[in-house]
Amino acid sequence: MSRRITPTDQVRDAEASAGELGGCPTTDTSTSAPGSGTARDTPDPAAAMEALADRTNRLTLVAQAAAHLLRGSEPETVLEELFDEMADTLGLEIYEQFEYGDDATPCSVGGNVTWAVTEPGEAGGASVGIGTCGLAFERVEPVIYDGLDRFPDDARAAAHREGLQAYGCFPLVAGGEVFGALCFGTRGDARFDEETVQLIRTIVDYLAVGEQRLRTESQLRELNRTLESRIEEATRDLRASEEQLRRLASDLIRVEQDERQRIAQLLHDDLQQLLFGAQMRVGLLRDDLGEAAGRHVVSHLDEAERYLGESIDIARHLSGELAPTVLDDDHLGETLQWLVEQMRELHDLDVELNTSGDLHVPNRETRVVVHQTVRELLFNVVKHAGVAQARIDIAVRGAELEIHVEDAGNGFDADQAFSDPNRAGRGLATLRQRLSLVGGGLDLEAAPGDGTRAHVVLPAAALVRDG
Amino acid sequence: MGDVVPPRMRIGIVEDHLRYREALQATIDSIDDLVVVWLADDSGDALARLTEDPVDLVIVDLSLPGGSGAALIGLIRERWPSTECVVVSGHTENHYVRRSFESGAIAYVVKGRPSDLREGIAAAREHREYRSPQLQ
Repeated sequence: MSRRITPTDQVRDAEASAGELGGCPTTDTSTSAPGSGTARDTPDPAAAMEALADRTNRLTLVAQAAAHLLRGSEPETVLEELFDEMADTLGLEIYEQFEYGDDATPCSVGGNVTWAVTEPGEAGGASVGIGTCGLAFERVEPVIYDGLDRFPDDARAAAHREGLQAYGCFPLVAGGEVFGALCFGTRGDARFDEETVQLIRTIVDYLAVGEQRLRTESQLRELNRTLESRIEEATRDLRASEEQLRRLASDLIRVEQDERQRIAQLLHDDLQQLLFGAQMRVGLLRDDLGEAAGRHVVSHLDEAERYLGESIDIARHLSGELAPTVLDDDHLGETLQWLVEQMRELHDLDVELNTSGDLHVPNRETRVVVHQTVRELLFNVVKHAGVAQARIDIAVRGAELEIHVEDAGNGFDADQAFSDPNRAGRGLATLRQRLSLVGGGLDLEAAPGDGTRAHVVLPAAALVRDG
Repeated sequence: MGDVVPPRMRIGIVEDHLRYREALQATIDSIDDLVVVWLADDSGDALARLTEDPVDLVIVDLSLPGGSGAALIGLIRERWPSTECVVVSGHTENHYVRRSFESGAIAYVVKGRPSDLREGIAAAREHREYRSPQLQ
């Protein structure tokens, strides 16, 4: 609803008005004086044609405004051209654009000021505009002054002295927010007729909606950019963390292996050799004594040899457990063949090994991980499957190393395997974690009574040296 | 005319661990018709000794600094085909045994028992393969 202000309303609206035009009275449009309608005693075809043409122009103006302001990518760029059209069609001479801010005087002249009879800030058009737009801001509806000559001495009277007859400000409202106003003035007519007011209001609303759409689109674009930027940043951080974690894991495996190897080497190169030497010496002693050795001496020699033999077995076993020397060989087939023999020798597990492709893996950490993984899986067969046979298939396919370990034993619930708090469950979870740190993975396919199939994958990057 | 005394078999020992090398030498010295001609503690040293003073048989430890015993055996068999190689090793795993024979060794003796070593050397002398009983 728009407000029309006339001098007779001054007293009624005095307390409600504020700002530069304090005391400006307002009335509802519905109570204002009749518009510029003319009595038509006799039909005048020429006047009717003119009226029809005028109406057509007005409708065309609204349609053009809708097209430019609602669909266009930059509504404000067409304003000037549009307002020229408005000036021609609606008989307007003055157009001023105001923006609202957050300060005490909400209105300021913004954008391009066209057709203004005075410069902004001087008495006259701009001053009356500032005051009027202030009221429009407060009321969130158009404020229109008809017959400026009837107002007492203030900005409106000054504006009238400079030729203005009527003046109105239309707030730009979108999303419940007033962000500016468009003000129009005329020097021809003493008032805006109701149809013109509605038409201007429609166009101003189109502009507000268009502006709001652009603001929303801009905010969305900014939000998208921010989100994309954050996602990119988070992805970069994640990748960097993963890479760091992978390197740390690799370092950890290397350090652990170095230490294991150091101890294993001590056991093998020093302790075991000394034990072998002692065993040889006892054998030589036995040979030297020959038949002269009494029953007790022979018995002591037997015991000494037995102890030495057991000590050698323990040292050999420990050395093999800590760092199997077969891991020095860069061929995974050799590593797994050794493991197969160990499982047969130590655990009576008969393992079929099938290899395919080039299994030379220069990266020692990868050989260690593969060895530990397959050993753990075979231990699970020994401990839980209830069968004495298993099968390993290992192959390099494309960019991946694939290992399958399967048995036809008891099986288990694969879905619960990794969360099982018992030792087997923890072992599998640790295995999967260790594999993931070098970029690999472990999947289990198993069901109670239906055997177990473990599928291990390692990326090619893990196969090369320093990968 | 008296009995013909067979020539003593000339032996070189390649073993990096001093104590065990001494034990090997003591074992071989206890056999009448064998003589230890030189001792070496790595592959390079062994090849130098062989070049200076070729022998009938070389006792080779598999775990040597600066190169594996199996590789040394391959080189010896290539350059001195009449020289037999007997492996002495603490390893009992099949792949070590297999690789040693593939490289040209005539016997594989597990460290520890003098009797095994004697058997291995006797077999080498007759150019027949031998492996310690626990490897059978």
